[in-house]
Amino acid sequence: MGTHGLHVTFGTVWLVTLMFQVGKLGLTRENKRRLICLSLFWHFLDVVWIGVFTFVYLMGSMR
Amino acid sequence: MSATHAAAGGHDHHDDHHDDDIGYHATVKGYVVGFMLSVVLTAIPFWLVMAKVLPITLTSIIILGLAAIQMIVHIVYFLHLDRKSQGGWNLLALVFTAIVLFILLSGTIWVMLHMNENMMPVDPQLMRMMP
Repeated sequence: MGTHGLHVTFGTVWLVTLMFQVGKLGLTRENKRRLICLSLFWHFLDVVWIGVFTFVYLMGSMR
Repeated sequence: MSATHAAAGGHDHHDDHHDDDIGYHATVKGYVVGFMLSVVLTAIPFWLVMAKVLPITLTSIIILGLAAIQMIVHIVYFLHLDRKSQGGWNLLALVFTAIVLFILLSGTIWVMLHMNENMMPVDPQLMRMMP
């Protein structure tokens, strides 16, 4: 759980940084590549979230 | 490659397209469909657990099944990993990873649960001399 929180925290830092980058430089080729990398990272994170939600919250609240 | 680029002044359309090629065609529709499916696949297990409409064992089986389906939805709609990605090699790598993970996890649980029966019997005399 803590690891997932750390994962999300770093993702958020990355996300905010990229928002500034895109705001400053626009959608350049470099920024597009960065966005694709962030997208991969972030969407992997919500695959992990399905597991956390199912096992920790749903299974945890049933017993 | 860089020489061609410099000669064309960086405006060669075909070259630009190649550099921007991300390997998949992302559409708003794809993300909306993925989002809708995710909402439904999250709402159903949440409701099942909160409303306690089914026995616990059956509820567990259903929510685990729906979680597996939702993971596939995320991988296909958000991570764009389908049979077309890298000519199918990405999917093959994913399946291989899943098999290795399955063997690792189930094997660990199996070994750990049968630890006591599989250990060599220890002589009580020897046991007393152990540090």
